[in-house]
Amino acid sequence: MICLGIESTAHTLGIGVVEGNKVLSNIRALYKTPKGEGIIPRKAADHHSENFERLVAEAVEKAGIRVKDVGLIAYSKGPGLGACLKVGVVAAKNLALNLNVPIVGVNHCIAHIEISKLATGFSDPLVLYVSGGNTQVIVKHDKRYHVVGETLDIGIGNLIDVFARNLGLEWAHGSVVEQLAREGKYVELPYSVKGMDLTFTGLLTHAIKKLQTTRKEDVCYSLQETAFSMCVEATERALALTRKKQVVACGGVAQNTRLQKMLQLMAEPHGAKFGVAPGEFNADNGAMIAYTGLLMQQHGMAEKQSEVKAIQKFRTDEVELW
Amino acid sequence: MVKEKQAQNYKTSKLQNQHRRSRIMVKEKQKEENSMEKEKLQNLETPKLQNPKTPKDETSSAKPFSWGAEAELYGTDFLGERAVVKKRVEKKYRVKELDEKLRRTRTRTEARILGEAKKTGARVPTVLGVEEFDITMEFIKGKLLRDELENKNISRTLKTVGEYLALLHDANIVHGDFTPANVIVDGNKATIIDFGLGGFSRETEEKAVDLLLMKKALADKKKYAKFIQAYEKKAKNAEATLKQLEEIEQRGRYVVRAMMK
Repeated sequence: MICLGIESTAHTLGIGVVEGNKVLSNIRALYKTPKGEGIIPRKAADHHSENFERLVAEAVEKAGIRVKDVGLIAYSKGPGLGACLKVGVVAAKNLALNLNVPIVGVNHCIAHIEISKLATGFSDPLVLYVSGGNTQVIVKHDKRYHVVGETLDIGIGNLIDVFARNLGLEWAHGSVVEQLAREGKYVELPYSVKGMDLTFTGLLTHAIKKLQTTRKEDVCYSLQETAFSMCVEATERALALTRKKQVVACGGVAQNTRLQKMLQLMAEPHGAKFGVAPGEFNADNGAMIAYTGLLMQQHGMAEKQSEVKAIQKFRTDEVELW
Repeated sequence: MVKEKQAQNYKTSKLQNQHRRSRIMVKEKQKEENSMEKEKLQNLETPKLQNPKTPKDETSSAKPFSWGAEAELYGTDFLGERAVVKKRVEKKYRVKELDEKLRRTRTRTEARILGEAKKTGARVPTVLGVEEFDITMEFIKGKLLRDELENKNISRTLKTVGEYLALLHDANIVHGDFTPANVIVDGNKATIIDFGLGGFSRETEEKAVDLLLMKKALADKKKYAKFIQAYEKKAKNAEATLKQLEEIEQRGRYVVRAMMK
């Protein structure tokens, strides 16, 4: 069966076409935030609406199929920005009705995990999920992904983005901070791990202040080192507790090569393997929604049209799986 | 003056000199002078160590007998007595400055908590020595409460554990990982171990988490009742803590942590 997946939780509109385990196409359009500003939900939603038809047409063409070959529509149900999610929901509903095919709502976090499992070939990994709004350590137990540790305030991506905006960059993005960090030296910043939970706001305030007195390269480097060490330590605690043999990082921030290296170094002494999916699946994308939608449909989790809606605060551990 | 002091030191603290000879002892003598004084006092309070035999060569094995996320436990010999070294190991993934700072402050904090906990009357391992990244402590004989829960006479132990936690909480010490895997049982005695996630806190939230972890791990309602009744009777602020416990239970996500133990 071929599934078309729609991702629209934040600034990315992604359309992916997946058949079984095979990704046929995976394309996206990015709403770029104005300089010095974060995402304006209303404007991001407009962007998604404007680009939807074009993107679907491209994705279908690139997949080498016809629209009527699509047998399932999957959409991201949340968590995310309400306005952006709604565009995806309405579009998905429309497509499913027009094509007369089943529809399934996918938890965005679970989609990141499932596509990472597919890409790495890991069956039961300990997961570090790091993105703009989320920072969670996740483990599957009894048909459910459980959050065993998480941020108590903001997501790590949010930390890096807000910091990057304070650097006055034209394009405030984690990859730019990563680039600058290569030239940096370590300066002390606050470090806060509480068991397996994390807090980032103190670190953010301190790092922004530090910019007044310290080279920006040094602050970038130290911010990354501190924030990543915190995430890796929380993951290591969970690893020691669960004794899992596989570790996966997913979400936008998982594309950072320094974080990947650190997780690799952490996992080795515990006899665990570390894996990460290619970048296109760690950025928000439609293929992961489509792939997870297929899995869910196989397990009888398709929705009635009347159940189709967005949930802004949709926790990873709310979904009972298989 | 200095010579006099040295002579005095030499005369009065044979024990201290033996410490110095022992390889597990403090390398940076000056820096750790204060903690050595403390150790001396503690040792004198412990009858077993008052007249130490000639220290044998250290018999620390090369392999840890237990390990967690941040520390390894090694068996060792302290003045002829069996002891344990908790070693906070280097983390290669962190930059050196950060790694050393964290390991140093955490080692110090844990030693401080153990010292304060001992004063409350709860049974915890005695700290024998503190190095930059290591704590040497008394070896506790016995089995983990986790593996003794089916024992017939365990309810008395559970009562003791409840009382000990009350003592700790009244002194604003929270354990942070209060499960049956962190209690050692030997006959009627119970000892609370591993304060690695512990801290000093007045928050009912953190105290309630201690209760919750034990509750989930005990599972059996009768066993939990023994524990919690003893706690309730002894702890000063039991009512508020129990109320907080109810609130945390609604949140759900703490459940799995205890379950995975």
